[in-house]
Amino acid sequence: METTSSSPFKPRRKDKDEDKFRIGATIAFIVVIIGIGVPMWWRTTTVYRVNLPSSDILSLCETSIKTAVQVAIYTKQPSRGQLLISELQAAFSDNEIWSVDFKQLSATTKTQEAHTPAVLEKLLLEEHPQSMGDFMFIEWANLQEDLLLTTERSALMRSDTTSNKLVQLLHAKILQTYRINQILSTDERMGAKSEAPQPAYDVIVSVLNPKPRLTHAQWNIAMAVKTYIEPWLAQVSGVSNFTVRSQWKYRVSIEADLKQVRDQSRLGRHYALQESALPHLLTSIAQNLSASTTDKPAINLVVYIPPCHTAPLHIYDSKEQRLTRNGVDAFISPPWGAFIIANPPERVCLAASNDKQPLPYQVSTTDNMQVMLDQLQKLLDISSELQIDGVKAVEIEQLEPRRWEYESFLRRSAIRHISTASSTLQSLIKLLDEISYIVIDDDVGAAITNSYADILAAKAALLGHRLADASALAKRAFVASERGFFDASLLAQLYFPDEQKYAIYIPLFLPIMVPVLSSFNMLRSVLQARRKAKQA
Amino acid sequence: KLNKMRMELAWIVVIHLVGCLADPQDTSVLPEGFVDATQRSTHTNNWAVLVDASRFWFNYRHVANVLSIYRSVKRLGIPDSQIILMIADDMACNPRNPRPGQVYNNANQHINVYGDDVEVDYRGYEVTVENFVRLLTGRTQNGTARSKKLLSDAGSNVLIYLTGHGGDGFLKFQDSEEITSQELADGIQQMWEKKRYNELFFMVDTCQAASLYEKFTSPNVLAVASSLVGEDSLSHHVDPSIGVYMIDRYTYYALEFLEKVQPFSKRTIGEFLQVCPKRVCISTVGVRKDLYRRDPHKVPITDFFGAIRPTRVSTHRINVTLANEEDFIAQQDEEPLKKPFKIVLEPQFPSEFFK
Repeated sequence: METTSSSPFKPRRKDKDEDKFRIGATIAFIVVIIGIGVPMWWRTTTVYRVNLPSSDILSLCETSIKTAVQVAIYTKQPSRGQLLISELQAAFSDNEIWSVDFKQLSATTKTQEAHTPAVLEKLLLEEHPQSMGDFMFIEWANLQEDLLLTTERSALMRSDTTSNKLVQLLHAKILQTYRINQILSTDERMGAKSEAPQPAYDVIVSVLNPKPRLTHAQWNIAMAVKTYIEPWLAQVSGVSNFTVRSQWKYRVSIEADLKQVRDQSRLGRHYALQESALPHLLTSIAQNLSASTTDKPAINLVVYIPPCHTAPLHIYDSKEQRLTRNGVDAFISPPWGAFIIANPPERVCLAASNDKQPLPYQVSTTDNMQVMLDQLQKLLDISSELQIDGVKAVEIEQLEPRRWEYESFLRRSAIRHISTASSTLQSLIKLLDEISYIVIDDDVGAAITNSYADILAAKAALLGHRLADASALAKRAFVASERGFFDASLLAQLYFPDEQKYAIYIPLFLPIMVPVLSSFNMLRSVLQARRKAKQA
Repeated sequence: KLNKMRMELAWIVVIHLVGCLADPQDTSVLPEGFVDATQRSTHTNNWAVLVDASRFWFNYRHVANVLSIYRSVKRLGIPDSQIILMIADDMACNPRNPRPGQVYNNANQHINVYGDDVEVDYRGYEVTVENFVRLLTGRTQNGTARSKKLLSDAGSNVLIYLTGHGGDGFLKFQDSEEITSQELADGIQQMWEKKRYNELFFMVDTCQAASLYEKFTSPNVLAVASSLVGEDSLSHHVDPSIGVYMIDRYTYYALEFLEKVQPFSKRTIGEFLQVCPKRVCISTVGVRKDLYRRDPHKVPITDFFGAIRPTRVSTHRINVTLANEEDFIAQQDEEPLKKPFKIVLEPQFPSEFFK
């Protein structure tokens, strides 16, 4: 390629033909290497990234998540109804999270004659059907408390209940504004510190019998779980799927200091378990419950049968007060699970203390399952435990959660999923900008784009008063965003950041580029000579 | 006359001071309640990632380091399901170990830190830079067991402990690859973006350990290193009966501190950061607290080394009765009849082949 220096053996000939060939060869080299080679190298070593709607995703936080709710009020006197509605509208006028639509239901002759609240509610629903997430206040004269929450989507109120009480109830229990604020807050100290509801959970019911040869406890736990737990979980599977397992665990004992306390029972004594020792108790048994054999997050429901030499076992607090209520000793530890102490009946332990043969007995299913259902409701965060003065809720009598409670849970989960998915997508876009060697392949790109579309659709569904759609879309968006963010392929070029790209290719291409670049000089001098010749 | 002016000036200064102190609207002094609120712990669970990155028998002390920290952390309450333990080589069953199945961190051999219930999540050749970064960022391969994932959330306080051989800006893994401080910083930045930690305590015991935390930019990270850039971390003592160094100096003195901590202790992280002064550690302990917004002297050490598990007594019930008790009695006669089986004993020595 040397065109400027000549060898001593060849006489220097300023031959125009040879020059032409030399120039042609140089130009060909330049074209191939710089014109074709460099762009091809640049394109083949760029990190593969599918097109993503980055700017749209980054602007997701600008539109707030607003939910539309319809609240109906039925009063005997229309004037009272109008007054309440105007006061409520004033209270909710400038709300950023809620777009509440208040409807007044007027009294008809049929509704005036209704004998029970249930009949009244049915009549009202015939005229004005409710959709998911709505609520209704019904005036009922003979009421002891200010407000009585039913198991459907309504609350009974007295004739003198103020609008302040209604606003308080709406914010605290129905809409759960304080929890939505916690989810939507951008301050990391104030934000929600727990996990969003996951798409699948494994519920593991374990019965612990540490001394099976001394305690002959019999229980068909599999059937108990199938009768009580599985149908209940089927009712609340809107957000997560649940798989239920049950097991007996023998020879797993709890590690706790149990103090003997004298009392007036036939056995003469019972044992005290300190409230402060409960976390350590769970740590000592958690390893043995085979909860790690599953890929999904687990919720452990444990029933412990104390052996007779440490029975009956009751929980005491630090002030030496017994915490047993209605014969139930149980505690929960969200999000891990719950624990029930199923003490053997007195006659069994009397027989054991008199050194007789161990008496076989049946563990009470209804007692333990009723407590277990309540614990499950608290663990899944469906029950609202806030107590307001003058407000009571009707006890649950069917195997399903209260309708308004469950729908508040659906609404809160939808908002949580939308908020988490948005922040996940935004973090991913920010990371892609900062770290330029992360690969985004087709699957991940599709997951991100679908998640973004679902977030927009879910927000629109929330504003458009369609809670079921919003819940499903929000869950889909959340799952897709997690899949996209945590895809294993995003680590593919771990050892190949940009600086190393140059460090590897420069030693390969520099020896070729140096003569090409120096021949530019030669070309320039040839062109100058030609121009001089033309001028001359 | 000068005296009079001086007196007047003094009076003016005094009045001004009194005015400042009495001013209730003074915003340069924050109300105590607010300051207390920002110093309170906000975590809901604890995780620990303990990594020993070096292999070979003569690096016995690194395994002893990490197992000692594992013991302390477990004793103070973090369950095994929330501890990720990565050990690059097997010392307990190493053919050169004169005490098979046991790993000691002291020449007096009082405590076997390997124990009966140690749960190593990543062992041997599974301890690689790729697996470590996958663990931190959560981008594990499909099919990784749940116990091998760091499932922390926005309320988790994470303790990361690294030990092995290191240099200026890198930590050597398995004698064949290195993790750079930039990769560590990127990994922790990704954890922060995805809200995978509430607060992070980063402990390193290697040579030139301070270089590993230099590139951090994510908030709520408190880092401590056994030596500064340019210094070597030294090991503590040799056990002649085993033939190798048993433990490193920084971890030895850190353990001395942790052994005295009980689950309800009031010792603070500030005290822990001052453990191992230069006269015993020979290297200078480096601390990075500019990214940590709380005062380390007000943070209890159990915030990172212990675990909280919120429990509350719940005795309500849902009054639903779906079936009678008799329906739940296990049916004894429904069990399948066990067929009697014959036991055939094979002769111990197959003598029929030699007839």
